[in-house]
Amino acid sequence: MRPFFRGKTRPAWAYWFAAAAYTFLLVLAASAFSRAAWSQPLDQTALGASLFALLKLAWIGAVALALVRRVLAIEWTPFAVARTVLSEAFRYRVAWVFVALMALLLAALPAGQDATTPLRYRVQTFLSYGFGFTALLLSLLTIFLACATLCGEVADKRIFTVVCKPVGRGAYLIGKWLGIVLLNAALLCAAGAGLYGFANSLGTQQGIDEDDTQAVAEQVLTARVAVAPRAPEGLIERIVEDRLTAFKEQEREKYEEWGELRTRAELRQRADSQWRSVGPGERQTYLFDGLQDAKASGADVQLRYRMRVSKAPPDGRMQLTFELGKRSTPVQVRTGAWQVFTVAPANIGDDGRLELVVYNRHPDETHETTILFPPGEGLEVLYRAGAFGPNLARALLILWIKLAFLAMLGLLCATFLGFHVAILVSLIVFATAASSGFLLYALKYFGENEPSVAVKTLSGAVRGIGTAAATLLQKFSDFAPGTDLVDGRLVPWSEVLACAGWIGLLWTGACGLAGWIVFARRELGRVQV
Amino acid sequence: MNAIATDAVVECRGLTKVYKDFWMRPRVTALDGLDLDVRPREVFGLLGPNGSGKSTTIKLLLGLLYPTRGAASVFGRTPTDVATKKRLGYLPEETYLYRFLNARETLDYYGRLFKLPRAERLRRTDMLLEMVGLEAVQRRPVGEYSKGMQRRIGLAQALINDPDLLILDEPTTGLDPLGTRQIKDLILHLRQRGKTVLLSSHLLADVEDVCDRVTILYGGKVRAAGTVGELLTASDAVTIEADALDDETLAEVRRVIESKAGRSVRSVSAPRKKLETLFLDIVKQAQAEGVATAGAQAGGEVAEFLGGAAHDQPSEGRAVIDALVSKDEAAKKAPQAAAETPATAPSGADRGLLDELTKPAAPQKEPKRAGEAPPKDSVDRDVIDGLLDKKDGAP
Repeated sequence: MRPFFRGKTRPAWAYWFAAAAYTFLLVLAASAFSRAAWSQPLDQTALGASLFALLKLAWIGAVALALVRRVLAIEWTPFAVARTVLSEAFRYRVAWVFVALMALLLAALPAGQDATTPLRYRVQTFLSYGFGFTALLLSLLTIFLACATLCGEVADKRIFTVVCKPVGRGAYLIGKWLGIVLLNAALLCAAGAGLYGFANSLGTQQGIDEDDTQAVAEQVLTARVAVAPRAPEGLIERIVEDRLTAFKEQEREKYEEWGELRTRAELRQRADSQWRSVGPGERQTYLFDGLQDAKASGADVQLRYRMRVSKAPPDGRMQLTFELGKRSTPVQVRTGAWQVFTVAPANIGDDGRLELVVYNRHPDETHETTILFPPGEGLEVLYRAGAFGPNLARALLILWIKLAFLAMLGLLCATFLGFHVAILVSLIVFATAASSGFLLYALKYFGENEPSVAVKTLSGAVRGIGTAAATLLQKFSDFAPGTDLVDGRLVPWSEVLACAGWIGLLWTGACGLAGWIVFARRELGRVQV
Repeated sequence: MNAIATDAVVECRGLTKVYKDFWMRPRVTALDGLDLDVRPREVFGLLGPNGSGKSTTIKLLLGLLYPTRGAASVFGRTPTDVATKKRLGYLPEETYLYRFLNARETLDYYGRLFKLPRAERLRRTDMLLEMVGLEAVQRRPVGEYSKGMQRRIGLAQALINDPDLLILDEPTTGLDPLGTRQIKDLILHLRQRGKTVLLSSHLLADVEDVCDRVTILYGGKVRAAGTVGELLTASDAVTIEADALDDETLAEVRRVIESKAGRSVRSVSAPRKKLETLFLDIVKQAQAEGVATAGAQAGGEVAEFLGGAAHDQPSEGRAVIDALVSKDEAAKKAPQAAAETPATAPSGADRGLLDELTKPAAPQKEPKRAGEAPPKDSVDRDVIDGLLDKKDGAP
């Protein structure tokens, strides 16, 4: 076969030109086929939409990669090392496997869902699994690559020919880290393009009804700010003071055991729960502040709530009345499930305050029960503060920062451990960090009821170590933008910056410093006598 | 590690390396009180059987291992000093390269580690690939190369920075006689250029052919040291080589030796061609006939930047005038050359500079058109070259 381009060096633009030409011809042929077969433009068919989303993924990924390579062409020693890491990832097909898996997954997720399920849930499921798998796959790729690239060089002695060149070990480590970080940036661009493309193409499909279709745009593919309610001024304090006197008289022993401060804290918690509860036939007032932007936008806001009941109604349904200003609206609600109630912006005062009164009165006495809006996300008002695209970008940015930490963690382990042990340690730290929230909850009472003293002691030690590790790594699971993205919540810049500070600077910097100290002192030669 | 203030390029004093086990108990003494000096512009051989401490010495000099006792210095600095490595080239005992990179990318990568400008990297890469005979396979990943080809690319990477000190650990391992000869020629050429070469090998013939001085190690200790001549000359025998003689003349020679010197002639035989020479002749003939091969090609000329022009000894007058003509270029190169040349080797540095200055101009791609003004530098050079030719007696 004749060479595509003559000359000693085939220029990069030749590849790009060829790829662009082939893609153009492919799309042209597919469009012609689509019009002939379905009498529809290609991008309006499900297959076509998926194809376009895949093309977006491939092209954005390729452009990002080309940019990264361009950056790494800058004459700086760590960039030379980083460029080799990039080549290693692609030529050993590690990165290709990831790209192929990601493309397959993103393409298969929308197709694999039940068409009778409400569209908003389908989009949410896609986003949840898509973002989750992207994060998991990239985390595994990062750890694998970080451990392999350094351990591999030490094990097969390639490092001999590198460290006898004028490159410091710190610069070498930074180069390795930069290579992985920039590779992740390119892959995240591709993943972002895929997630955005597939989510939008899925979101433009027909919902089960008009509300469903609208909910996708207003509640999922958006970026909303959540505002939690507060109790009317002085209410909680009043309840605490009222109860404190009674508590001192009726439960004197406990009061003496707890002391004043703890007793007040306990009573405040109970008062808060009481305020979040509405007894049968009772009313409770909830105030939402800071909604000036929502009022100014003129768009509807969503009241999102989920409640627990003291006695489950026979059909699992309740009737409540929401009073907004002078207007009362009866609503049918299902217990335990998330509900959304749309509120017109006119109900928000000029001071940005929304006052909601919940009236718990059901016409049927068998349905009389106390309801509770649990703390956290039990009751909140959400309003649109941005678009889905930038929100996704911020979520991916947080993921990128977390991956940068994992890259440095893998390199740190590889500076003094063999490949298998380094990867094992890195994975354990990653698993602990990712599940630290759950671990802290699960370890709270671990082994407390063990009858045997020996087992109890052992359990206590495990609990202590586990709790310490999970507490240390808790920030990693605290920054979880995927959940916000799925709920259409805003991932604020403040969260991105906090993540950059904690994980990007503090943790990654600490790992990098430790790695440099260890690596600079390590003898890279081996016993060969 | 302590450095030693010295004029030697490499110096070791009481260098000892004891490998320890997991519990930090001494396990093996790989090197035991080694004293060593490698002087500027010499080819120094480190000889010894397997496990004698040759590779350990080299690893200590490269900063890959740290000594248990004693001190070593390279260019008067500690081996771990990054600045030392700018002037150092290293070919390990086996080729440890990035299997996924091709030959061109490999050289480019190592060139970048030396902060060579891109244009210079490309120039050197082209020259080195041609020199080691890998030009035709430069786009194939190094992992697909045969062992010999990997040694060649390994050698090329060791030379990318035009090192002042070249450390070669078993350089001819895995190479065919052609490659072996080329390595030896290269070593001799580098010595001629004023470079220093530290060669470790257990192939005695290789060492004998190229080394000025050798040290023989055994069990981590020096057993013998000196010039090759000192170590190999047998003082109790004499070899006389002459054109073929008939039996009668030989008998006469025997008689003269026995009667005049009172010594007996031990043996008389026709000298034999070396197998290496025979092999090289056969390959040379096959290449002349254009026989195809999928492997490495015959190596080309020594890369110009390594001092190819040094063979053509320029006349002093020409060198001076050329230096004056190219003073701008020289002014740019001089600080770099000064920075990269060992303070202990001034004549090598001067020669390198002159070689750069007297480098032949690249051939012009198109013939000069009539009336077209040539570049300023070309005009001056032509005129001066003409004058020089006349001075040399040319018509």
